[in-house]
Order: sequence, then C-alpha cells, then structure tokens
Amino acid sequence: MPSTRFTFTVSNLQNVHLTISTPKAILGYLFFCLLGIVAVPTLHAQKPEKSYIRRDHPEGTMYFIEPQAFKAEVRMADGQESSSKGVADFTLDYRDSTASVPSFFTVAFTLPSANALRQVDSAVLVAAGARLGATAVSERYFVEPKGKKWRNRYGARFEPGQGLRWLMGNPELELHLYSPGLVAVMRFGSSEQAIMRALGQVMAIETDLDQ
Amino acid sequence: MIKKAINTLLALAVVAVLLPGCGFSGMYGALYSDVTTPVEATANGVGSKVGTAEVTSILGLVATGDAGINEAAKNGGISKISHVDMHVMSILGLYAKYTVYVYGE
Repeated sequence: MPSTRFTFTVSNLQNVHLTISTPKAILGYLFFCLLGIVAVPTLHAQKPEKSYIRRDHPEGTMYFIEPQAFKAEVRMADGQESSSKGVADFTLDYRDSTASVPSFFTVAFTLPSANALRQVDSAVLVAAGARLGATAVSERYFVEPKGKKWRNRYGARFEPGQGLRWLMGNPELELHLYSPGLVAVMRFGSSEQAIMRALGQVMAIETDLDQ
Repeated sequence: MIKKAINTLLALAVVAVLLPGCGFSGMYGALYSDVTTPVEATANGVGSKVGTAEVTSILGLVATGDAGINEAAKNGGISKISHVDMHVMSILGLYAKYTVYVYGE
C-alpha cells in the first residue's frame, strides 16, 4: 500500500517519524474539508451575539437582526400550493422621547414565488397561532426574476411593541402575508427562533418598548 | 501518479488557506478570521436602515453570491448611504463568508 512518511525534528530528541497511508491521508483531508464546510456555518449561525447589530444614532438606537431563514407555504387564489425558502431580517429603530419621529419595527423579507408580487396588502405577526400584530404598511424594495421564479423583497412596518412581543413569543413564529391572489405563511426554524427570541429580549430590556 | 495526486491536494489546501485573504485589506488570519472592518463613510447622517449582501466561498475554489454595496443597499431599501462595513468569517480557507453591511435611509 502506498504511504507518505513525514519526518519531524524535535530539539534534543531523536527524529520523529509519522507514516500515514496515502489513501487514508486523502480521505482524512477530504473528511476534514467536509466537516469544516458543514459544521462551521452551522455553528457560526447559532450564536445570537453574532447575529445582530446595535448602533446608536442622535435620536436613539437602531437594532438589526441579520437575515434568518424561513420556509414559506404559498397558496394561490386558484388553489395551487407551493413552498419556497427565503430570508427575513428585523430592524427596531428605537427613538427616545425627544425624537421627532416614533420608534418602529420592520420585517424585511425576500420571498421567492412563481409569480411576481406586485404589492403586499397586509402582513400579520403570529406566534403559536395567536395574532400579535398586523400592518398594512409595506414598502417594496425590489421584484426581480431569478431563473424561473421571482424574488420579491418587501419591508413590513409594525408597532415596535408588537414586534418585540412577537420575537419573544412562544415557538412557532410565523409571518402571514396577504397579497392580491396570494397568501403566504412563513415559518422560522427552531435555531432561528432561538436567535430571534434572545435578541428580542435584548431589545426589550434596553428599550422597554414591549411594555 | 499518487505522488502527483498528493501534490495537487496539498497545493489546493495551500491555495484554499491563502485565497480568502486576497483582495481584502486589514487584519485577516490565514487560519481563522471573524472580523468586521470599515469600508466607506459618507457625509450623510446615520440612517435607520441596514442592508446586507454576502458571498460564500468553499475550499477557496468555489465562490458564489453578490456582496456588492449596490446589492446590500437594494436589500435594505436604502437610497442614501451613510456608511459601509464588512465582515469576514473564514476558517482555514475551507469555508469563508464575506458580508457587506450598508447603513442609510
């Protein structure tokens, strides 16, 4: 069997020889690569402290939770159902009592769909089946084709208290989206919800906006 | 034949370790990086929006994504940029993620 021999010289000691069979070395290297590719992004993504930005501005503080993955079930008016995967990020713009504009909580999401979303009528924050907030205020960031699908990115603005109570709510966090001829239910995974809950607590403690 | 394969693999490993540092300025570790550094600041005031965009690299050989400032601003619905940061996370060059954060209104 072919082998690779490594020789190390350690001071005051005899030469140390390490012999590894070549197929094992190659397999070991590939396994190491695979482990790195799979484990590192997963471990990195599970840390709440790595998943948010806190920045002071003249009238308060802005908190930003980095994009979290969700799975969406999309139901069309003609009865067709499909599923897709997207990401959503969350911004709390906290303004103090002297500020000229109120605080707000924004959910910005990218939802792939078979048809372009021309507009979003309303969005609802749901936790464990209970509606915790609703809004009709949405902003279209962009709608663009990607392959055979469309990438629809919108921002939905909520009352900050509703947003924080939702983030800290029970498991099964959902964002429901209503658009002409389309209803989408976006569900977040357990690791994403854990991050959202932890960071929601950070924002609630620092701003008291959940009271 | 086998020696050639080993040499190729070793060369790829070295390239994978060194590549993620190429093109970036600032402090980056060849073995491990988890750093955020500034890119640009403008005269516009600090905004209330953030947009992100990222590129992912695997083994230093395959990289996909769009981490341009324009893409990040588009994702955040930002038309007036106040400043731009970037974050690099890399381990041994096996996996690297380059994220651009654009702040503004």
